[in-house]
Amino acid sequence: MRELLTPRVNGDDVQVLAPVHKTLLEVLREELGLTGTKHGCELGECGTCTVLLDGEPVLSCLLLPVECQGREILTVEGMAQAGRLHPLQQSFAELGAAQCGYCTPGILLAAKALLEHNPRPSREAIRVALAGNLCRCTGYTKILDAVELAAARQGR
Amino acid sequence: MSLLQEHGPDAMVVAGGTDLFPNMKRRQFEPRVLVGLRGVRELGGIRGSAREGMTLGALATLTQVSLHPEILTHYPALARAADLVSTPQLRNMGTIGGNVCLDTRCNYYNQSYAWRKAIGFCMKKDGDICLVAPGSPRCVAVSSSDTAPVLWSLGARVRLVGPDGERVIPLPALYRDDGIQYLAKAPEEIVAEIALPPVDGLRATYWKLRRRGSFDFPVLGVAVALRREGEVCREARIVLGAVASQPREAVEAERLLAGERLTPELIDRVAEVAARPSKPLDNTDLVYYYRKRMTRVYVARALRELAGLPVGDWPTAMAGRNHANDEEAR
Amino acid sequence: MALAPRFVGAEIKRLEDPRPIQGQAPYVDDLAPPGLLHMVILRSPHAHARITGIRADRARQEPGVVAVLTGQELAAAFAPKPLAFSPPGLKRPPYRPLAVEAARYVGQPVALVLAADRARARDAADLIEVEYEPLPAVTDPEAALAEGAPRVHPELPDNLAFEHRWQSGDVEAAFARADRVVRGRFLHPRLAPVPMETRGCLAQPQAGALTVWLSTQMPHRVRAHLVEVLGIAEHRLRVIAPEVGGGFGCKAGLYDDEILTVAAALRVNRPVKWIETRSESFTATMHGRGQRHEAELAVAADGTFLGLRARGVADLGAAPECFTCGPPILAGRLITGAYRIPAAEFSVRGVYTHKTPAGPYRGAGRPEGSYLIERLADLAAAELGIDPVEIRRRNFIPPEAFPYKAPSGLTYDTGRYALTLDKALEILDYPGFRAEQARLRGEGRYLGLGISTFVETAGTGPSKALPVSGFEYGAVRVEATGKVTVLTGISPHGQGQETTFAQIVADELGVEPEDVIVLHGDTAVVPAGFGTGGSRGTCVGGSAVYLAAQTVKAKARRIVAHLLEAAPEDVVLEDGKWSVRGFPARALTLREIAAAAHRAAKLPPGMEPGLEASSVFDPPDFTVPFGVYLAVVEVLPETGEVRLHRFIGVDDVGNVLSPLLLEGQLHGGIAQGIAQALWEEVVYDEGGQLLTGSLMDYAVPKADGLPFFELDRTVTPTPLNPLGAKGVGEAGAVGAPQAVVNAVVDALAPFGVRHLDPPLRPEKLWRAIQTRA
Repeated sequence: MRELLTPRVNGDDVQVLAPVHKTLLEVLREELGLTGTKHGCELGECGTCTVLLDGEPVLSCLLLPVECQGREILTVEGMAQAGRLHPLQQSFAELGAAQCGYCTPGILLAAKALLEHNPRPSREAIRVALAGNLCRCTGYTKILDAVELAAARQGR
Repeated sequence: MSLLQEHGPDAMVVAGGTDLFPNMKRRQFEPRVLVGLRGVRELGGIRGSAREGMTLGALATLTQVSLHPEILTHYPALARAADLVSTPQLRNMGTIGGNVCLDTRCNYYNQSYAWRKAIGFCMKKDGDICLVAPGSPRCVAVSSSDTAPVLWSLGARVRLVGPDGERVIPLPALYRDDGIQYLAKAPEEIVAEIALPPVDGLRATYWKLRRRGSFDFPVLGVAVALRREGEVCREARIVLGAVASQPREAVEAERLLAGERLTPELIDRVAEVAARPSKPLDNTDLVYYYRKRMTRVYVARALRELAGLPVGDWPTAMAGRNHANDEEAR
Repeated sequence: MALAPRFVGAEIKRLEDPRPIQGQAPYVDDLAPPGLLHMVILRSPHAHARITGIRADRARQEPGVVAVLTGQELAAAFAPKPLAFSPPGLKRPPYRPLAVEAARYVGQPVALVLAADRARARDAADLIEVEYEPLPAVTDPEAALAEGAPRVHPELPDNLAFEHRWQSGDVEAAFARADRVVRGRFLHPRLAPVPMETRGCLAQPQAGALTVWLSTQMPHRVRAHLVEVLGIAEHRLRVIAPEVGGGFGCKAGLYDDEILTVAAALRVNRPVKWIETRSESFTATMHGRGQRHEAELAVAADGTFLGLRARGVADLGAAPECFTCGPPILAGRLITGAYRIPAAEFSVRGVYTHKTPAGPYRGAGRPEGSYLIERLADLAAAELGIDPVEIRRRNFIPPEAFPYKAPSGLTYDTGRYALTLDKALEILDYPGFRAEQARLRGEGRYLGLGISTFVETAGTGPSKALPVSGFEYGAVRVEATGKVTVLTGISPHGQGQETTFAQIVADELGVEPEDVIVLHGDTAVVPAGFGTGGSRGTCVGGSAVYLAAQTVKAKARRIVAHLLEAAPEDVVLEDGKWSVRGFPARALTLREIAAAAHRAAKLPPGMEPGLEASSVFDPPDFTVPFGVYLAVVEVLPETGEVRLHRFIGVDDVGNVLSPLLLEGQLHGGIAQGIAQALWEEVVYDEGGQLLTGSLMDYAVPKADGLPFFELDRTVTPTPLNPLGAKGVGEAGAVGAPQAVVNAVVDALAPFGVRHLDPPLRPEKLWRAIQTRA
């Protein structure tokens, strides 16, 4: 059984006929070719599959796409605008906040939502905002640094 | 409603999906029909005020509850409990209705199908006996909601809507101390909204024990609500979460508070008595005797917080968003 | 040409980054060739059970199912898997990648399903009916050694897989003349590596050739193993490590489920992909640690360490994998730590249990060995009433004693242990801390300081010391336009050597790092390689690249000399300009030199056209990095909660090529070490069921659980490779656990606590306080 889905993904109106049992994560990856969003645990326990739904971080492994009809989905592929990297992408690159890169898309999106609510977050607020995303490589230090750097630049 | 009635036990409702979908993936739930509530506009929204009471639509997300200005100011214990659920992503998806109806948890139940099959299944799903307490006639899975103890302490009521109409019950009447039938409602009834009475001087707080500062369910939750006149307690509610299959009210301890001033000595005595109904079993993270002992510590801390006494070191596992913002403001 | 390098040692932005930060890095699961089948593995839910029958008819009849294969059907396809670590006398069970007559751990593959759709394959796997007859299981390695314990392999006489021992110096005499002997029993629970990307494999047979994409640290080693196990012609097999989402040791070697993916693809002659689920990963991917040691240290009254004895038991799990037998042996090599201990003996027994096979996890034996001596040093200090800093100083191997041959036979290359310690204590303000600690104890607050003056081994490894070759391959090719392509046999997956090697080559050849591309992880592109692991990437792989760059540079110099009519010795390279000493005005760029080399018309007589070279570097020995970690904790007596207030690290890993990436490696390693001390533990019940099979139950650290790391370094280069670098990938994980444990024990000294085993869960500390308060 397939259903017609019509979300907005990274600014484009999308129409896709997808099997009903697929999660948003699977539809993004398998039907729309947006493989930047990764499988991490499929049970809501790691944050790897984070995307933004109407600007808020959610777990695409626990969302049915039918719940996203007409709503705005942002994945890591949509962060750069007109070929320009998002300030978070720039600061992650400058500080070496990505290592293996697998958790990076989810963390970038969670951080983006934070900065939109709270343009100058404290270190503690960044920790709390990213407490739903696991990273096994970095010990988080450079990730927190990079979010701080992006915030400082945006605030200028 | 008609869908739920038509499919009976084969159907389940889904709001945020954060409890249901992981359970389905582990085959703890095996519904054939899912009824999505998202489209039901009447179930959303947070209305009212502290003066006349508030109504939380079942679909209000935990983020909305934790950040709602009126709730933050006048029902801060509820905002804190909602803020301490799982992770930011889960709170954006998970709803207050879902958290109130959260499935009970157990180390022998929250496992993959193969795992449960290998150990011979437990009575909560597919089996006949309890693997935690093999002689137990009932399931002892643990109520793991953060918001339920707080709502209980605040005197919340629940509006249930079913095929035969609707009814409003006090929140405690929603629960039963049975890990399987932990909700005292008909399967085809849904929780439509939660009503908070006017604040009327009631001050409450919530303390949560867990190992890490996110993801983890409570392995102990302590909600305390007090109404005082001057220095004297007129009304007290102490509700313990994650110590049984439903929130458990420490009635005897509450009595000790009535008509008394909140001195450090009284707090210690109340905490000791409050810990008596706390009977954790060895079926969650952190061993049961530790959780039992921490009941006393956490009740004392909650009372001290309400009394304006020093509470000791803030547990790192309670560093939620609101707390981080408070720190920043200071 | 002894100019200071422009790029090596400088903070350079990672050249890898455009990929991961934009989600453009393809990992195995992002690949889907046409005609792809998905493989799902049915695994044993029992720790030990006889398999009396498998009925797969219903699964085979499911629509979309292409094949269901069982151990019986595939048994003939496999030759035994080679082991990279095989201690003398190792008793090996028969090799069966799919269980045939019995299952020996929860998670062992029993059958596999191939279907066009992953969900369909999963559903079909549930329809396979396996008849199990459960048998008694043994999960504790010491219980497994007892008389009458259930045997993991009926073909073997008992569960003892191997025993390894060495002795050096007169240990008995050392203990006989000791003033005191301190003893301890030190446990390291099993740990799950938990890379954020689980394992996965995609095999595509095509026109007589086979390509395998695998989430691995070692594509070349994988190829060698696949060739042996499946009898594939080596030249027709291409193994590619695409982007790899973390490894930490668990993606070294080759797993049975990966072999099954390849075997299945060959059987049905279609591309087959297997992706491990997270739940599957906790039982299917090797666990680290799982060692315990009883150890005793003989000391003189003045604190001098006289002799050391340690006896270990290592829980190998159900069968030896490629590297399973390595960590127990590696642990022994480090037991004398940074100290001059003239006599020592070590033995370890590797034991089969009904559990997931064990293997290397960041540190791989070194944390166990280092932990043991660092705990004993603290116990000796407490016993003798000597300051723990002082007792370490008194026993440090002095700088003039290097190269120092340790009792284990390991030679330490270079070390200045006191220098590193001084620097760390200065950052802490040691006297200030002790005063504060005493003051706060008076107020009922319990602060503790943990000191870890650790050494470790890196730069794996000399071929002469390994059962497999340990050299690394590197090549440098200057294209006709002066852009540079580098090939390396290591297979970085987050460490950042695409950047580091570009820095090395850019300096050597006078170009910008952006002009260099580093290719890796593909056996068709890189002719040879060992891979990433054993803290070898930069110091061994980088040295091979450096040597190749030297050859290219020498040739470039001859070309310049020819074109500018000078002697090669007089050619200098400065700021990207190649000229004759004293005549800077007439200078050539690498682009011009490359053009000449490829054009071939104006080359010196007899010179081959082109500008490229390859090299291998086989290190003469292991390097021995060292460091000092200081952890400041507070234990809250009411709840047993640990607050990690400060974590100070001064590392010495020799020369530092990429400071930014070095920090990243240290942060990650230290985080894993702290997590080992405080949170992480793989737990089985007595029947062999895994109790920590999800990320809810297995406590990986989160962004809100770690302190700010205060890091600094000293630099003591190694003479063992041309870069002078020692390796940094594992230092953090080796040094951190005992810093935290020592700190907690120090904090709880007023309660009479002398020792606690990790993980230091709050309930454990609370209980220790309660029982001894």
